[in-house]
Amino acid sequence: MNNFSDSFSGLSGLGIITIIFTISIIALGFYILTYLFIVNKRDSKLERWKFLADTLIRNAIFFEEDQSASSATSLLKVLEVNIFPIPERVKKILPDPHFRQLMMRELIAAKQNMTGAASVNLKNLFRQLELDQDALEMVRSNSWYLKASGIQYLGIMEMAEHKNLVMPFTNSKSGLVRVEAQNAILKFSGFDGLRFLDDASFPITEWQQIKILEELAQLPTEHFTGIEKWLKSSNDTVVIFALKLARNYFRFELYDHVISCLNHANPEVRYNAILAAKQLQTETTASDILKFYEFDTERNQLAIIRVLEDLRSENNLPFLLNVFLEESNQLKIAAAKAIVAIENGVEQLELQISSNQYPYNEIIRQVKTERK
Amino acid sequence: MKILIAEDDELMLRTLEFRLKKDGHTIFMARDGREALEQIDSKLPDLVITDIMMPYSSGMEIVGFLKQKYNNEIKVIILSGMGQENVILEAFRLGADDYITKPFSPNELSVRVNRFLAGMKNTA
Repeated sequence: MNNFSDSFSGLSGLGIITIIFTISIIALGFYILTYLFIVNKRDSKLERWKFLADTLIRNAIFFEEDQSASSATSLLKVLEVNIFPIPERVKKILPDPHFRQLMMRELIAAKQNMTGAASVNLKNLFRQLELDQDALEMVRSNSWYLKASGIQYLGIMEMAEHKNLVMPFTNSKSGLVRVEAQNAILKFSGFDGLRFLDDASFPITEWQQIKILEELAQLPTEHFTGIEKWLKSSNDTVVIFALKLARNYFRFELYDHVISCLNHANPEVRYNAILAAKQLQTETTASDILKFYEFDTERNQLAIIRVLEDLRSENNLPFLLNVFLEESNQLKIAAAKAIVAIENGVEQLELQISSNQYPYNEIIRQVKTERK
Repeated sequence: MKILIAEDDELMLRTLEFRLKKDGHTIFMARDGREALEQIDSKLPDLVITDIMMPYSSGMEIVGFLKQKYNNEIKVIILSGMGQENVILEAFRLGADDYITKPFSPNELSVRVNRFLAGMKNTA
């Protein structure tokens, strides 16, 4: 102990600092080298895994065409549980949870880009590697994020056999879980999947409505039932979505139900009912919607006038001329546009109004220019 | 025929390469827009299949470059996502010759590419 103290006492303060600094630099250098070595090793392992996963997926994509066997043999192979030959190297690392995660990510990405036989093969490979069980485990987890991801994976991979497990989540408290479950159900069941609207008690956001309509647009159109019931839902967003469905799928038989939505307390529902009425118009549409004009918001009044513009009926001229004279400038412009859309509408407009008077002169000039 | 595939998704790139090589084409691959532009000048492919979204230069820039520099000598097919009608229209305005929407079947892509190339031969 004394020797140790003696050897230090022989050093100046600067010497001690230099020694400490040198040791620190060496330690830091060693740490950096070790860290780089570990990162490098991990990266090269990941790259190797990614290559193995990609090769397996690519072989699965082209599996059928690579089989030179007869169709009967192929059918037998399809009926077997293990369809795709899995290389030994993959079999060894398959239990590793990190590899399974990577494999799942790669398969999901590939599935989203493929259709036809390739897509079916990827689905089968997903099952064969029991990645559906991993996704199910995520669904059963307590974390809403993992739950949503698991449901999303099951949906993308079209694991329709888990429909009953996913269905209750379509009305989950968690927005993300709910959205993913609704998307998954549509992927499993197509238009039938819309049944989740029967019990939807949470709002279906505008964004989700767009996503559902996009998803449905990819399916062959079929006659589906339920809209009538959804139009009477106590969830306003379900009513709005049902009106969009009626409009997009030209459900003329629902016209009366759409018109009854013009009585709804929510102005957004009424707005969508006006748009649907425009799409499903009949001979009585003008009189049907005009009954509600007086009591509605200005936005909805504008929408009603646009329906009249679309109808181009001379019968609506007195009403439109009245709006042009009496209402706000925004409604005046909309009415003027609707009037000029009617045959001889411009003449009628100029006959009724002194065209030199502001703002009428400006509006008439504008709508006439737009018409040209 | 010489085909350049420009796609930043490695798996998709390899899948397309595998399928089109099987059809007897010579395949060049680019993993980003910049690499694609370099390869166009050095390899002079007959056809370029390009993804829209790529690092450095987008598929749109590649279409624009091809039409400006090579006029109609090099044909171009764009790969676009579902519901990207505006993007497809813009690509056509810039001079794209055809488009394929993701998701797609690799076999369908092969048929479409071969039919497209056969059409090119007939008009040449």
